[in-house]
Amino acid sequence: MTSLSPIAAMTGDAVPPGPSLPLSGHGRSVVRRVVLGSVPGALASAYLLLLVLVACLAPLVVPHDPNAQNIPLRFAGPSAQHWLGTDSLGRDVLSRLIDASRIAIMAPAISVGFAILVGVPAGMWAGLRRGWVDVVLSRIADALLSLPGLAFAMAIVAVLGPGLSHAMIALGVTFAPRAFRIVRGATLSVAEETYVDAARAIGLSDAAIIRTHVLPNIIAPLLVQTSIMMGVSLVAEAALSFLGLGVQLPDASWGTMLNTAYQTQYQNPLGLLPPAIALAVTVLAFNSLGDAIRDVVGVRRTR
Amino acid sequence: MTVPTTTRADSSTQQQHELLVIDGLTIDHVGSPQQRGLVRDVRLSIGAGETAALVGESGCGKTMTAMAVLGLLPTSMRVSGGRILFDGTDLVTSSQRVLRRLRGKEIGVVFQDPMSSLNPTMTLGDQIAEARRLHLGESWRQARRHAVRLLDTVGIDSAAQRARAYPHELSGGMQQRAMIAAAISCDPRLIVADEPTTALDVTVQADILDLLRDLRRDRRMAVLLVTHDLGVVADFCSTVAVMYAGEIVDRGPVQEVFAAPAHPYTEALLSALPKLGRARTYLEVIPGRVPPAGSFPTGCRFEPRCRHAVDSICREPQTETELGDGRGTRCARVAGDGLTLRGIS
Amino acid sequence: MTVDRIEEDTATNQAAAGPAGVRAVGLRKSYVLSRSSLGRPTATQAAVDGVGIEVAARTTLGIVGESGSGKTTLGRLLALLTRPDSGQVTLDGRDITGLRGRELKAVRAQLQVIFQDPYGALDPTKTIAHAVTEPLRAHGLLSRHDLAERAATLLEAVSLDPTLGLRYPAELSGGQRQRICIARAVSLEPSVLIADEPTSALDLSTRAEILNLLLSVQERAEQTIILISHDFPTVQHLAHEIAVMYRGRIVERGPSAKVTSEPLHPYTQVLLAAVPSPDPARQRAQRELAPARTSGLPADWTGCAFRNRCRFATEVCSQVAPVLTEKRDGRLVACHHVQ
Repeated sequence: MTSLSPIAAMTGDAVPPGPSLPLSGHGRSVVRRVVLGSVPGALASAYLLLLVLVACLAPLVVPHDPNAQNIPLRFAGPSAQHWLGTDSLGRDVLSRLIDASRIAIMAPAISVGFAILVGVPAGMWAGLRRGWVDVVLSRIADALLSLPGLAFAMAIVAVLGPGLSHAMIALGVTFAPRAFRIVRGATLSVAEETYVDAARAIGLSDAAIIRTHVLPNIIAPLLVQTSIMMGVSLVAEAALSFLGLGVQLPDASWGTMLNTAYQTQYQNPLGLLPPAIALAVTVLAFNSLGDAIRDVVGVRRTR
Repeated sequence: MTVPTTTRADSSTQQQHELLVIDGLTIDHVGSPQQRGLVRDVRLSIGAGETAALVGESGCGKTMTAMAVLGLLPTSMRVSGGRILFDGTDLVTSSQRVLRRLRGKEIGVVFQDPMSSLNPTMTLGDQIAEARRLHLGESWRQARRHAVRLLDTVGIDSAAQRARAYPHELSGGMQQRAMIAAAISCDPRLIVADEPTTALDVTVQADILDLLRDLRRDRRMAVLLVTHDLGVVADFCSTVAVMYAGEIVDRGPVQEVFAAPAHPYTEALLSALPKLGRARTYLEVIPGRVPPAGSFPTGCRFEPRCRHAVDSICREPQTETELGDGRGTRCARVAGDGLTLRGIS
Repeated sequence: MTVDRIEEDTATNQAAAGPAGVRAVGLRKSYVLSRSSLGRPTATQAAVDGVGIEVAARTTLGIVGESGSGKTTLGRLLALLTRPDSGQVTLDGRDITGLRGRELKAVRAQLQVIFQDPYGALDPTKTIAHAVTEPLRAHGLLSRHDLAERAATLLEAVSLDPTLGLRYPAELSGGQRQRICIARAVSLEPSVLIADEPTSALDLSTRAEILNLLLSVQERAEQTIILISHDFPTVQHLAHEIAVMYRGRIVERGPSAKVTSEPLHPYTQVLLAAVPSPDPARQRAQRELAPARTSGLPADWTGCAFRNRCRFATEVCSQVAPVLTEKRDGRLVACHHVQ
């Protein structure tokens, strides 16, 4: 199981060594094998798909307005009206959970997307070109990796002001060096391969080589890393929001829901469960998907 | 039934005591019912001080046979038939303890790639000394002294200093010499060498073969050489067994087998070699490919690719026939149909 | 190195005279063995040490050497895959050494390479059809529309089943992959083909197939071919001329048959004597020739690099490095003791 505590992950301690393996089976059949090949993979894929669907359709799916308060009905237990009960302000927990799922999808998407956008091209460039480009970029990445991730994110938010997007960019900055490292390592080993030499001999430019020969061959470890990073960033977002640095109340995020429940845990101890379980299951799904991808594409080239 | 191995070189010895006798060895793949007979009915014997070669291309089963002799088959393979008699003891039925005692002490091994066969974290001297400590109970000091002497014997200069060096500090040729030193450290009676010179430069290879020749002569060691290089076989060995698809198809004294092969595969191999002095002529190519394990033909395994094949004879299962004078063949057409083949001219 | 190692102009000894073909002058390439903490190189090794070479158009030159001879580096220099530290490579009289960008790309179409490792030379994520048509597409000579058809033609030309175009490299054998590499290399009809150990990674019977294929390429296409190998029989099978390399320098060069039957340089003699032959008569003759061998490299680089292993070595050999000069009938040898 690729489980990383968010702290460890963001401090760059637990960088899993990804072998540079090509996508064996290519394209559609890979997707099929990941999604249908194993029980965890199938369950994870189904869950994440459902989550994305729910997040997209959230406004249409919520049974109640997530922000509508109903003080007389606060701390209500599960009922036909409110499947998961209400929170300290009488708001429907299920609606808030669903509403927050949008954040749960968007936050990792933004932060990981940023990390990939910055880290991948830099990693490939550094791995292929070597020389001073590599030296400079690697040192920058090392410096960023040495910063404790969550604390750094908090510092950035302190400067930029609280808010989801600021928090996500901050996380993205802490993830980018990890993506850079993985991609650079994979590119280094691909660059040693004879087919890269052959492509040069044919006359392809470096850009064309990266596009055609390097990228498809490093995408496997990158995919695995991406799914891991998604899980980590989700927990990080929840942590930031819990601390009041990310999503601001009364907006719903699983992190803020945790905060609300935490404040009133003596009156309603079970209130912590819905957001906590949602978080745990989603991170589990991301990690399982990463495992499934790794199992499928991790096939050695046969001689 | 063993094939006698008197050769010109050793004809002085009256009675050959067969040191190693492989009798009907068959190896299967565990768990895969199709992959039976990966090595089938292999018979070979080597007397004291003799040199025998197991020759064939990749996948023919020669390495598996050698590993079976050493008791080092991977767990996915198992010996399902036959015996391997080393000085009377059947290695197939022996326990791991017995095998461990033999390996290193009576049977030395030289592998193909010295870089991965030598422990990178131990000095050369210690690695060579290890076997002597284990098998002969010597102290470290004694064993190390002996190791230095061995390094000297195998032609490594400044042996005392080199003994304290680590494998990566040496060149490929030196490493292989060190491996040989480790292999002979307890004065074994048999050396099993699996492609010992394939990874080396040709001049270094010549030196290593010279070394093995000298050692063999001085210590009366038998050598079982596994290789795909026919030139090395001609240079070094007195008898040869040619393997194809898990079976021995041709055997005998080296000069005779190459001059007058007794199996179409040998003939084909010989004509596929580029020869010095015969430039820019088209080489004869063996059509088709080696059958993958598990889909061997029931008749002659070489028949689909053989240009001398005759359906009525060659589709039948083939057995080994002795042709006298140490020659053997698995080709029914050579044995009974009077087929003669072209060798090296 | 103070001695000038540039090969003397030897236009007279070429098989097919003329300015066409590949020519290299004074090629030098060193590799850094160790660096100081600041990154400054503290020890370098010259892989190719002032090599001059000339390959007449439409002939095949074989370059033979063992590990450390620099033959692979020389091949890469000639193929413009590595930049020389100094020296010049010319193709058909035109200096192509320092080219970049579009000019370099245009020249590449004339200089194709067949690599040693057929297992690594094909991108595992691309189909065979894609791989074999890549050069044509890269130079704009083939549209996606015609890809499949052209791939089939190219595959047939190397006696491969045209339907293999849909497969991936992992599904094919070493011999098939090497054929595809050859098909790919000749697809642009380059004027020069550089083959680096094309058969070393293959089985005996597969080697014969590839050698035959190279032979037919040689006959059909009339290209200039540079064949690099450590295996003498392989090289002399295809080459019109052979150059022997030792420690970054060419020590002997001449017509293939002559060099093989009558080697002049002591190293060539050692090399030939060391090649084991299944022919018993030849083997016996070779054994008698084998000279005494001492190991080790000379401590410094002045003089002849072979002197520690040479039975003819004398005082002058450790002081002056021999230059490749013509001795007789178009034979070039770099040795003080050969007449």
